[in-house]
Amino acid sequence: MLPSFISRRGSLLLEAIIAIGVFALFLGGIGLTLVLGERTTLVAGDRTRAAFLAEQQLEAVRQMRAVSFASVTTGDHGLKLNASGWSWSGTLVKNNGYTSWVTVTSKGTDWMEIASNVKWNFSNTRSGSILMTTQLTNWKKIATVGNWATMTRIALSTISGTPDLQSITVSGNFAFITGTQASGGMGLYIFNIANPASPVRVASSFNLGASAYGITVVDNRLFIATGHATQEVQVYDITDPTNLMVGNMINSYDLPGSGKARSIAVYGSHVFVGSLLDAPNNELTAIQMSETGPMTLLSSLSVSGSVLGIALQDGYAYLANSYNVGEFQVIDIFDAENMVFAPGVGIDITDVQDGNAIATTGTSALIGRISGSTIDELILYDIGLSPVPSPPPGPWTLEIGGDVRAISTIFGSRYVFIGNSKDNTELLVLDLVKFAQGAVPTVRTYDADAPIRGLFYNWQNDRLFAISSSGLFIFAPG
Amino acid sequence: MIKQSTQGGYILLISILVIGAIASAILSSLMILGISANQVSLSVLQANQSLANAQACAEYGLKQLRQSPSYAGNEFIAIGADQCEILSVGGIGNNNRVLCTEGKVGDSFRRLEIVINQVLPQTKIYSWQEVAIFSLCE
Repeated sequence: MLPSFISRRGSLLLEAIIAIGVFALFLGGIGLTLVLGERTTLVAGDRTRAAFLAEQQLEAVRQMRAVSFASVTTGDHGLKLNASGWSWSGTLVKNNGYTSWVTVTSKGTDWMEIASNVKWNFSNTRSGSILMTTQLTNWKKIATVGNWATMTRIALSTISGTPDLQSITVSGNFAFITGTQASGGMGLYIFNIANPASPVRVASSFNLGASAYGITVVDNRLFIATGHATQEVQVYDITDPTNLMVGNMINSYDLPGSGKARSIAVYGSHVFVGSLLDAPNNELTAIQMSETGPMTLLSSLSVSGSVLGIALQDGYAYLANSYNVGEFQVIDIFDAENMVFAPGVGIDITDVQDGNAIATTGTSALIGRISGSTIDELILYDIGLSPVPSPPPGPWTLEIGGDVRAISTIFGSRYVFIGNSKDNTELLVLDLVKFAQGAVPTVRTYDADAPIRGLFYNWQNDRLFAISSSGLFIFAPG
Repeated sequence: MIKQSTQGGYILLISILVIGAIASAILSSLMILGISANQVSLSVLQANQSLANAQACAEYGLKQLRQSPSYAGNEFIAIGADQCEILSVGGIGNNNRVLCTEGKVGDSFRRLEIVINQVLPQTKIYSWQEVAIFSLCE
């Protein structure tokens, strides 16, 4: 026993030290893990609560917008909940260790960016911040329409020479007007209408190089139906209309035949072009717009006459046609690669005068025709039940006494504008409700001293733009 | 005596091993819980932000539709440091339009499908719902 006892002297101490060391390490590990685990959970909890706070602030501002967009003012704001809802409360709010506020910045007219900020600092190891951003617009605003029964002309600008104006469209602060080149016109005229009472012609040296007819704008793209032999459809970038140049043409399309395009309408990236009768070529063509490559043909359809007007609504193209037994036609364009006549095809309107202008609004379609002694030139159809009208109800007609050259409607409003060639009453304002009741629909006439050839109602400023062969008229409601 | 002493040491050792194993399991669970909580909070944050982005695009799309009923969509909008996408706007004209938007932050996608009864003069919404997969837009 003795030798064995002697040999283990000191070993016990060493073992004890090692054991204590291992145990200490073990305890340290346990402690560290406990602390780390707890801290991670707490930090995660802090951030989750902050995320919900940030979301709550965005929803609070959304609720304020629902009450009044004007109440969403720029700057830093805290938010508090009252009995009547959310409202601003100073520049920030502190609650349960969180500091929160929203920063509202303007992105443009009726357009705000809302940055929801939340900060917290519970200790040196439990602090942080998050930022959540969204945008709000004033899409709930009701577009107001004035009393067009008492409209007045607020501007008239005359273009020198013989521009032979054809059609007009408006986008933002600019009006784009087409004209022919038969007598030295420039094809396209642009006016700055930022002040509608004083339109100013811009890009006056621009020459389209061809006669132009139908025109429309989608975003910053100007689509024109032209008489150009090989570029009947032309698309321009109008980001800067004041300095429009030939180099701004970003795409074009060569229709079969030569220079027959007359009307145009665009839906998304699909361009629908109406052409003059030119057998054996089809008169309605659907083209795929491209920003990066050439425009490509989707499909075309023979409609047996010149397509002088196109209106798109609910997946259908409504055509004003010169076809003697089908002046009003409806095309199903749900599949633009396979355009077909809508069931019922269209309407053979009394006599043979061409359908010359067309517009749709709500459940109504209006078609205007070339003057005829035995016909009423304006016809109103109900298209509420089927795209091709199936009277009754309607149709309702109105004697214009001249060629109907243009029709413009106001979305959701009872007013419709008719441009025509009848002396002394070249511009008419009609009441659609009265029209559909069989009453006299004319609520205002205007003597433009020349046929009105194009019309565009701009809802953004409740103004009507009209053109004669050389004049731009701007009207305001009473 | 020797046998008794040896058996006592084993009991202590086994006890320490068992307690250590239990402690390790508890600590591992704590760590995993902490990490999971962290991931959940990050996901909540990303999900909220992606929904805010999708809503921002919906607001912008409605505004654009009011400015031009021929507004086509198909664009990305910058929202702070992120962006959202407006898909091709469905329908033609003033009535029965469909607007689809998508917000994406990290791995989180939020999608909105909005059916619009009427654009002007007052925009009327038929439905505004979040969807997992678009059914009304391409």
